[in-house]
Amino acid sequence: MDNELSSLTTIFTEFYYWVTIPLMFLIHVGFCMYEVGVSRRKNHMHTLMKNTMLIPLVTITFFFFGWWIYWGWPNGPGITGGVEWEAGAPNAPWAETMGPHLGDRITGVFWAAFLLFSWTAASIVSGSVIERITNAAFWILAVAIGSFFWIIDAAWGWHYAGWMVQKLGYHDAYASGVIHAIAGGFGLGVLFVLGPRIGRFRADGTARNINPRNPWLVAIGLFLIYTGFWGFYVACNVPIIDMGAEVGDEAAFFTATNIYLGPTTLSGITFNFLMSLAGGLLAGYWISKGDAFWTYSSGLAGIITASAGNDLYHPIQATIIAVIGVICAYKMHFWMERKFKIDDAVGAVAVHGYAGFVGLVICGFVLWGYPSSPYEGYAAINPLGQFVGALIMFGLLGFLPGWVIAKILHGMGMLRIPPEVEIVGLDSLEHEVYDAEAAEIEQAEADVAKTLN
Amino acid sequence: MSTGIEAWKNLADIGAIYPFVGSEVMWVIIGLVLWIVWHVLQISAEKEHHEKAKSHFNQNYRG
Repeated sequence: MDNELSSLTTIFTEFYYWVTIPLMFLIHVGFCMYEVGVSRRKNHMHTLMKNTMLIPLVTITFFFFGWWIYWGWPNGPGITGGVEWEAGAPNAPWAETMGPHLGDRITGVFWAAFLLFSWTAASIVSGSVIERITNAAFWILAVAIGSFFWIIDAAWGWHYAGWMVQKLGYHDAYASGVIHAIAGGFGLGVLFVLGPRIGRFRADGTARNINPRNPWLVAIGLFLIYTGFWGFYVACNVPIIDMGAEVGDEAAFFTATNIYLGPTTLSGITFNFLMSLAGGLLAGYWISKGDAFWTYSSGLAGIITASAGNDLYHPIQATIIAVIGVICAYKMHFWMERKFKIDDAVGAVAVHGYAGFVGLVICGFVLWGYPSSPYEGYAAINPLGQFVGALIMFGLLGFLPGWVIAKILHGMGMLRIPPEVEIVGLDSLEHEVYDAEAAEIEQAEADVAKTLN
Repeated sequence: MSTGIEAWKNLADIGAIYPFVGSEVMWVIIGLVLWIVWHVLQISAEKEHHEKAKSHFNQNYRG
């Protein structure tokens, strides 16, 4: 910070990441509106609190250990090397750089950008389990996915030196797998143990619909998630770097890069974000026969499917990939519902999990042979590496921990609310108090009214 | 008395600008304890809420 040009670059980068944070905050506003819109009146308050309180819990735990894991565990540890103590040190919770520090302009904003991804991972799970999970269990699960498992996969597959990038050629520029497949898989693991809401399936095993109570809240919520997704995309890039110097070219070449420090442009990802959104919406409207809930969700699923390679795809490729992802996610959702009686209240496993998985696999074919990194010695992007990567994200770090932790919580009698409470509604006590208070006010008004004449 | 910075001079040498530099480990331990205590209290409160809601169910659905 001792000359104007380097100061401008540094402060621009600091500001760049800072702007992504309030944008991504909208994702969480959207998730809250969406969940409340889908839930029934008897559960509104608790549904809202369940999602809202993951914010502080994931935030403090991501400060305590999540952020350090990202920097310390790109080698596994134990897969291609040990713990990266040196890289982790400035990101440990007791490091001086984890607070206001005149020699550091990036750690806080970079931490926060990743933290907002952490909230998203936990929030994806939140929607699928509404109206029957205990808050206590959900918040433990939220910390597990938001501050531990997703950040392990980020260290492995979303870090310029991650072992999956080096050995598998794993490429996931905008987190089809790193956020969405893992969160969808985790949610599915929890749902298998948690079971469906009372009344969701008939005696013959066919499903009853518990339709969104407030479609307008759902629509605005999903629009806000789209909006916040812009911040998500921007936060996945490094805004300006001399790639020429990074790859040993004689001439300097300043560009934006993806998280792996491979070149891309904000212009290119803007094309692809919108074209994959369009593909998702078109496919969703068609396959769901105009169902608003699925059409909106499919816009999101379209972006999620194309996200793995949206730094490099042609916009029409992104559109077609989005269409394929939406068809797969929609079909898989109803197949799983019929086959395993999975009650995914908001379709989160489909929109995030299946679409993310499919997106990773497609990326392996479409970007086959592309370098996964600008650095020497890394495997190129390939279908097998992407497929194995998808299994790691969805299965190993998603489904398996979700299922195991849910089993433990179930064994302790902590996972599911009592059936009496589910029937009467989580908010029944609050409603009783509200009704009594409203009656008292009405009585007071009536008493005053009598005195007016 | 000063908890940290006394003058904005020699800025390049200052580094951390929050109070009580050097006590970070203690703050982390306090934070971890508060986090765990919060979960313990919340679990207990939620159980109590469920018991009351079950009573509400019994009064309203079982006559």
